[in-house]
Amino acid sequence: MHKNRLKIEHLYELYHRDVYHFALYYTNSREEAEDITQETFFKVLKQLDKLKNEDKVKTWILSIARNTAVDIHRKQKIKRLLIEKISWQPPIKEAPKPLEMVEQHEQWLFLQEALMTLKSHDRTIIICRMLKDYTIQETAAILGISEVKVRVDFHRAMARLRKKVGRVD
Amino acid sequence: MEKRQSELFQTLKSRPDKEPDRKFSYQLREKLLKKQPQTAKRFTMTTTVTMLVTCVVIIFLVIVSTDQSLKLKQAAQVIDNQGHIFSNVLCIVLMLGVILFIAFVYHKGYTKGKLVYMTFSLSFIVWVGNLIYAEHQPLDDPAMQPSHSDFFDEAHSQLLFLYELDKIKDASVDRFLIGQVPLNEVQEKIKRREGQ
Repeated sequence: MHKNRLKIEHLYELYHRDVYHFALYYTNSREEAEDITQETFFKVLKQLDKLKNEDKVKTWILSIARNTAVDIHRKQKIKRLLIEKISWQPPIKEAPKPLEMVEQHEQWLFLQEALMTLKSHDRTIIICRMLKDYTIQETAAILGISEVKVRVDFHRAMARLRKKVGRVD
Repeated sequence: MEKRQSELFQTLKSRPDKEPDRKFSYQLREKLLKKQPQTAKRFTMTTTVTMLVTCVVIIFLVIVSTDQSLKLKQAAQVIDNQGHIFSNVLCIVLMLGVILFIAFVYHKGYTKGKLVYMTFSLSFIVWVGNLIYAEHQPLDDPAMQPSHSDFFDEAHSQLLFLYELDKIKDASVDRFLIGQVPLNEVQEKIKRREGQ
């Protein structure tokens, strides 16, 4: 029990930022990113005994984070759509505040918005390869696919993102 | 193009709200340390239900495809020998298909989601339940019940009358042949004919 506590504390220290970053890039929402981080580490704690290969702990945690992100983001999306349908109102667009207006002109937001329009798989590959600088091997382990598929899918995802960014620009 | 792309990614990498809130990080760490590690249950309720239903379906399909002890209530059920073989082959193919599908689902791990478990189980429960219900509660075939018709009733009564008349005639002939008609009556008739 005590061993597990030390282990989870150590893992949390090492990887909680990585998980949070991944979740934030994936959802573009601080609340959702926090939920995903919390849920991921609860799952890690629950399945800590199953972990046998200590070398793959990083990709193991990130694959849990990725699955959790997909689940939570999907749920939130459905919830939002349902609320919109029930209330029978178009989504309210708040008037941009001066600070937000400044932020909207920042380039990162353009890219983040373009990233959000991509499919889950493409978004994950781009986050892993371009934003978190994980290797092809690590990305393959996180997604549970072959390295060749990572290469192919990455090029396709980048082509799609370029198209979107081009439109946004 | 490449330069512009890398610039964009660099800006996103250093987005201002990138780092997690300190308060949140601290609270989550505390929660993790307080939380008792629960080992994942090897067999959950959904797993048990799915396994059971899968077994039932396989047994059911084996029974159906081997000796047809549970007869399927089909309107166009073939009864000749060739048709029987055909239906058996069809059932075996269906069984193999279902088994392969189940194996695929388990192999791929699509059963991990509770929704998938429940959908998978419920669909088979409904299917098997429906067939078993049809077996034990056979409904009268509506095609075999005559509907009410005046024409039918009239024709039927005429046929019945003719049938009864035939029966009376046959009975009188039989009576004559087996000697139940009095002999003197017959002799008188013969004499009358001779006299004429």
